[in-house]
Amino acid sequence: MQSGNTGLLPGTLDLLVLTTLSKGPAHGYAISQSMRLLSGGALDVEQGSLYPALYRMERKGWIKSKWTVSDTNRRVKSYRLTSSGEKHANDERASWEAFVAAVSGVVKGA
Amino acid sequence: MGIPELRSSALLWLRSKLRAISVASEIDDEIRFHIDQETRQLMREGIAAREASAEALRRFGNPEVVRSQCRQEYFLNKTKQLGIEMFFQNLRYAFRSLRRNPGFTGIAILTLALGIGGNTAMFTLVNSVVFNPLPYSDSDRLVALWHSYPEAGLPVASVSAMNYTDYARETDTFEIAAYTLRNATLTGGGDPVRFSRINATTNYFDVLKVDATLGRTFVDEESQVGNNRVVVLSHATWVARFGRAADIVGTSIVLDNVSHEVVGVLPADFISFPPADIYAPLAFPPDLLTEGRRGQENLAAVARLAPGVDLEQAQARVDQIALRLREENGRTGFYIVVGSFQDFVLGATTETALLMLLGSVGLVLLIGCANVASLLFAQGEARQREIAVRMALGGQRGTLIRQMITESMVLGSIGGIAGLVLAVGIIKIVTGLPDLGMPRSGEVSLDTSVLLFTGGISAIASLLFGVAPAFRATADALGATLRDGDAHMSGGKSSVRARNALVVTEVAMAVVLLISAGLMIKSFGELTATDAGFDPENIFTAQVSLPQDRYSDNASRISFFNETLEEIRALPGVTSAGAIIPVPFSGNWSGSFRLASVDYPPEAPPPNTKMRYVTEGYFESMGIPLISGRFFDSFDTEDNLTVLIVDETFVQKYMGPGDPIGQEILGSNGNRTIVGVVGAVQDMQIGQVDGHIYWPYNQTPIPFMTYMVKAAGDPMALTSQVSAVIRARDASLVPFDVSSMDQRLAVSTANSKFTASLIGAFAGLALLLAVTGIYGVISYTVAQRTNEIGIRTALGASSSAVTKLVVLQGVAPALVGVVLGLIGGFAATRLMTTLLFGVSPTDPMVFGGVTLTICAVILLAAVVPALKASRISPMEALRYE
Repeated sequence: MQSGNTGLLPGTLDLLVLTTLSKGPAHGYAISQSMRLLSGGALDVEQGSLYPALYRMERKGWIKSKWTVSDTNRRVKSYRLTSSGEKHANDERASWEAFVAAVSGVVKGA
Repeated sequence: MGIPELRSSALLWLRSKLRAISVASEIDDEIRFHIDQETRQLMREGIAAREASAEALRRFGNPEVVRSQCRQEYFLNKTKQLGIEMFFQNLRYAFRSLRRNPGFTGIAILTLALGIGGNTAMFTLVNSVVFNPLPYSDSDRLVALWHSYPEAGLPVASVSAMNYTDYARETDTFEIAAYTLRNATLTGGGDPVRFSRINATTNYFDVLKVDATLGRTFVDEESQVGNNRVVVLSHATWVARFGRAADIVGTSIVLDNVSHEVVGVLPADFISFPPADIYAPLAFPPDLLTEGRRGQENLAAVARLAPGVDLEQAQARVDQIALRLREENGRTGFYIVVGSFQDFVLGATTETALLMLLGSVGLVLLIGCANVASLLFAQGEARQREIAVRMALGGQRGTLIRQMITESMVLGSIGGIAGLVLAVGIIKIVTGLPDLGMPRSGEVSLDTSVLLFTGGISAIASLLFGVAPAFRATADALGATLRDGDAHMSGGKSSVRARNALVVTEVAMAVVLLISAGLMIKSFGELTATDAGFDPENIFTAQVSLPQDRYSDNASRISFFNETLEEIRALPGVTSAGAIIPVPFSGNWSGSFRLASVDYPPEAPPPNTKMRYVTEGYFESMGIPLISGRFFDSFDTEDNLTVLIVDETFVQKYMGPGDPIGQEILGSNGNRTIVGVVGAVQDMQIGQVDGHIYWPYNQTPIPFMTYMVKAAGDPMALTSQVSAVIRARDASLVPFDVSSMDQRLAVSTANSKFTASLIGAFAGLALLLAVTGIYGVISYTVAQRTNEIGIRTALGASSSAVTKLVVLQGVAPALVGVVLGLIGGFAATRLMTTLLFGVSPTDPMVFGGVTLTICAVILLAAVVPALKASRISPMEALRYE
């Protein structure tokens, strides 16, 4: 059920979130906006599916959440990357790049 | 850190602790924030508000699904938090569902509050009065010792000074102290004040293990006549009369015109039984400690068992002494009994009455639970569709049951809290009653065991009324209900059975309670209707006690009472006046006697009967009739024939067929002649009749007497005039124990009145609950069968046939309940025998009356819904769904 209804490859959503958070803490809506912007709208997944992923990653210790008060004076839950999250993101990025390289080699070679 | 920061950081801390609990609402907040932001973003892009929020929601996806996925992620590997979360969620559901049915919730909470409140109040009484140990250290080692003459019908008698001295000397199985309640007048410094005084042997406080807070208690030397002019003050007396004077110890106070040294003040929490204002040492004059005075039994005895000695060993030891006394003194039928001091203080009937009341109010709660359960059954059926849908959508049966039981627990808790509040009110009222007539009523208070009790019965009640309906409601939800209406015909069967069982239990318990209440009320009625043998109306009573030093000779006492009585008779509004000691219903003196004309077997103890000392005018004031002979008159002086008057009961019980007048009673200083026979009177407790010997005051001048003044109008209006007469003669005297004879009678029946009115209230409540319960069940059954009734009517059944059917089906289980209740009643009321006066525990009037009442009530509860049913037109009934 991991990333079950995102239409993404398994593990991709995690990597995207962690990458977004590596630029600094952000709340759920900001993460989803930033993902959409970074991907130029190409990764326009169902926004709600972000949240179970956030809870899962927090449980795994990759990110940490904290309630803060926003500029508009609303209670907002903001997430930040932990060091283990950073390490995990690097590992994932490396294996993702290896995967992309492999796939693109195969695709180009065909 | 300033206060606001402190507060906000405390809030943050609290929030983080509550996080696990409130995760569901956190997820909601997060989702709402996201959708709001998206909506605002879309609106900024120029989309109208409504479309923007719809689009934001569409882009987000199903929030329900997201929420449940988040929760699953969050609670993975966190079973404990999940349990807490589930609990709070159930709690939220419970409150929501209770709010949705305010009628049901209100009735259920009211029922439970009454039941739990009544139980809590009764438990508080029983706990404080019966269960709580007496307020002494190692109070379980304290025993009371009393004499018993079972063959003479006198199971409990006091101990004489002679006996006490023997027991104190001869036993090392316990240390024994003796005491007696007296009075004393404090003079000097303002108006004289009347004190209640306990005269106790010098080891009294050692036996009770009580020490003085100021000064000391008694020392051994103070048991000698002449050395005993000391007193120990109760804390309350020290505060109220001596203004907490720190230097009180060593000062002298004048009691009954004799100077006494204050040697100590007792702790604030010390209570004696009976309570007293001051305590003085008992010193036995040598002539009291002679074999001839052994029968003068007027002391209570308390003892502390020696280490390692138990009650049986102590009893065995006093049995030996009793055996010796029987042999040496020819006292056949004489026994000594050692028993728990607590039971002695309490008296057997108080405990029985309180426990019976606790049982009764327990039945009320059970009936209330049955009512709530029956409401829940009905509600469960009304919710069948909701339950079926939820189970079809994957809801676990266990989850649903847990949820419904949480609902019951919430009901029980609210009922419990309301009940506790109610109980506090009830206790305030009950303990505030002036003449409760119950020992230890001053000690009644709420404590942790009461709170535990309330919590416990609330929880048990919740389970009692909640579990069965919860299982029942979810039992066939998956089966029949969704397949439409046939649930009314078939699926209802077992729930009808369940409700019928409730009716049976409810009726049975109500019958048991009504029978007990009927007996108590009838008994109380008998008690108050009994002819006391005198006319208590408009009689003013007040006691005066003459100090020994100034009234040491008989002549001074005789002239004091005779002359003051003469002056009182001359007061306006006074019809007649006399004096007596002890006053009927306020005290009891008894003694042994032998008639000159009867040959008593030499080894048998002399018969024992009630003795009273009266002046001229007493019988007239009390309206006690003269049967034969004459009353005492002014010629019955010490120089003339020594005389006695006896009453009818005495003649019947102890004398032969001949004329009682002129017969003699043996005395140590010469025989006394019976000159009159008067009407029989009741004693201490109404219902006790014993023979009486009346002694003429002029020949036996006791230094304290109670004036009995018959008034033409309100007797208490005489108070100041009578006091004035007495004070005019001797300014140091205070009349005390001032009251009317009516009041004295009311006090003596207060206990029975208390029990009867409480159990009556419980029974009324039980009847009301049972009736509403039966009515509810039957009308519910009728409503469920409206369809069927319509078909029957459409097919030609007459409306009377329909009525009959419905009534029969409603009444049948109730009648089973009546029968079971009668059987239960027969069993339960056996335990009440000691509480009943003039009523047998199987009184046919009560049993018959209760049966008739309950049957009438059942019929009424069944007929009303049945009539409604018969009036339903077939069309309406068939449309009913």
